[in-house]
Amino acid sequence: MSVLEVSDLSIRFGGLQALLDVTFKVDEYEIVGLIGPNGAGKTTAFNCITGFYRPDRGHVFYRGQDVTGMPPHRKSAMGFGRTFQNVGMVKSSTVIENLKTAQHASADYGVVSGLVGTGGVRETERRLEQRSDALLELLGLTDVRDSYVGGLPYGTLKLLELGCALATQPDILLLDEPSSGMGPEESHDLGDRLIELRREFDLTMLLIEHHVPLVTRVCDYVYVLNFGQLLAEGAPSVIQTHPEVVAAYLGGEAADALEQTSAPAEEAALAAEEHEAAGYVRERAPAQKKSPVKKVAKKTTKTAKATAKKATAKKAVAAETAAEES
Amino acid sequence: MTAEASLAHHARPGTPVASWVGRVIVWLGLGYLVLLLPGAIGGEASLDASQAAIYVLIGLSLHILIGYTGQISLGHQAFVGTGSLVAANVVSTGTSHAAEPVHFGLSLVAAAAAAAAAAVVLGAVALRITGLYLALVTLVFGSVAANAIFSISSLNGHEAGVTALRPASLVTDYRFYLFCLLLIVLVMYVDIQLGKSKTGRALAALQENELVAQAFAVNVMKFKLIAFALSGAFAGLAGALYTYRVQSFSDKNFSGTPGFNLALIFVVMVVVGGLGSRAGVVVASAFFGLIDVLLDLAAKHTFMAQYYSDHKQYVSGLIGALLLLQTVILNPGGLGQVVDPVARWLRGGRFSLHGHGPTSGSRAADVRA
Repeated sequence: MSVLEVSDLSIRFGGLQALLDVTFKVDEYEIVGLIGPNGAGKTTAFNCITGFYRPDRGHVFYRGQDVTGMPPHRKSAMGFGRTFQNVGMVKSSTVIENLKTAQHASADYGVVSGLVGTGGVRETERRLEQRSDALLELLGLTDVRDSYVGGLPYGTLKLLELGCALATQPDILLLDEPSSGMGPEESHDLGDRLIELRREFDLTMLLIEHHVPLVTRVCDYVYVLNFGQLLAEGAPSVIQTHPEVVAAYLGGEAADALEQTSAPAEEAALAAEEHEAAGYVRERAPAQKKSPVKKVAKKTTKTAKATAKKATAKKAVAAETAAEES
Repeated sequence: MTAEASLAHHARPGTPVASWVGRVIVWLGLGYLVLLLPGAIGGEASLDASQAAIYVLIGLSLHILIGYTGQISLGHQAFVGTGSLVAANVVSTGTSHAAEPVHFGLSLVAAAAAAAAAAVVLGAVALRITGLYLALVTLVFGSVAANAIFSISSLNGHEAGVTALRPASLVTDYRFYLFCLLLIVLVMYVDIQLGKSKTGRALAALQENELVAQAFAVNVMKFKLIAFALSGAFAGLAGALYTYRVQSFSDKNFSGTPGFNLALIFVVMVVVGGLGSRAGVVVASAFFGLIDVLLDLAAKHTFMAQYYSDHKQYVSGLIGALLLLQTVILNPGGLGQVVDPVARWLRGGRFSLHGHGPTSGSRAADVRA
């Protein structure tokens, strides 16, 4: 039985069909990638799965149980751990407080005994604190233990957020762009870490990621979303050479890679591979210029390709600004 | 190291021994001021001091909503009034009998429960509203509740008010004041436990970001209601004491303009005290509880005396408004910015004006928005 199964997921925001009949599954102990150009509906899918949005149509199954429409806090308690694109932590609290807050579901005392401060409460609180410290040590973040989250650099925050998601004791971990704001080396380390965490906590993961080398390295299987629909699926190596995916997504990534002149050797090699892919895209590029680019989702690869390239170019700018800000 | 040398080492100024002497002196001073001075002055002093104590309870109560949860309540006088009304009616002793201790205790519990229930009703209505609209809803709730419920003449004693005498053991004002202090200690204990427990963390999380709180498995609706209930219970307790302070309930205090003024003062004293600062809120609330007395004292012997007594009702409001402006514009951490370092030092920490984490300024800013 799959840990997570999504069938015919559809949701519409006004005139925008954000997701249309998306079906995929994540099996036990798998790391599955969910990729696609910006605006493809990846985060929307996350929000539907974790209960923040209620899908118009379709179902979400967790280990065979239909959990569509269950509120997010219950899903979190049930075993859905998630991170947010823009760091979901309580900024006015300290790191250790955040980790304890994240263990809300494990704090198994009643509200009233919490207010009275019984011995059992103190015992539980000690346990939460020990677990938080253990997590901090695992992530190598013990020295920021008592710092306020608001003042920490972005890279640290992304890692801490991962720690908080782990503190919720997830069965399946949904990571929304875990490597955003990280340099190539950091994101390489992140890959190691994810694989290590999977082993350590016996986790299943679904991750949204733009960083192609990371996806190829850690993912067992990849689903590609484009304009709210599933475009392709397969092993990372298959996806990397899938013509439609290359057209919709990797082409744009390659363009990003071209702009990055200071990439280290390994990255450069990967980038070179992608450049070829970009060449492939570009050879066909002139043809598409005749058809006007429309925002509406269309199945024609040409239109999709052009829009996707625009979107990824925008993303590159956004990423740069984010990097500058952090 | 010889014993002599070690002694010399410890006796140097700024060393632990010296600073603990300082702390003990300040503790004793505070103890005298709070515990003994009202009794020593005599006259109305204990009654005035218990007014301050009641305001402190109300401040702590409202702080749970505004400070911890980020929910503003401009109708807090309704909860205090509900507690006041219920306590008076539960214990109502006719004219001359002192309350039985059991009835007295029961009236406190009933007052807390009734006000908590009223607060949960408001909370349930206000669950999905924040900011300006929440302020508006609580404002309307407060005045409607006050005008509708408190004017039921079978409950408010037909114009004359409901007499509610204290039990024999609390018959002197000073003893009653000590009882108020006892309740403050109780409420403060619960408040501190709240901050340490998962409830406090859940409230902090949902105040800042409801999505994150939910991702951490916090049931946002439930914990908002818990905050309203707890805040209401403390307000109800304060309301019961309000009744027993003057040993009668009168609806005039809580409805119409006086009621609205109360609601404003309550919010002002919490913001001036500093959101997120328990000690600041306590000091600011006590100050606003005593403001009329202090102004009386200050004005008595000056050329302003006549002017002051003519315009009495505006002066305290004016001072409140000025302090609020001062806080919001210049000093967003409120009185807590000054009081917290002192409180930390008194508990044995190092004295430092910058200290402890993100300025509560960012939290005060939430109220401004």
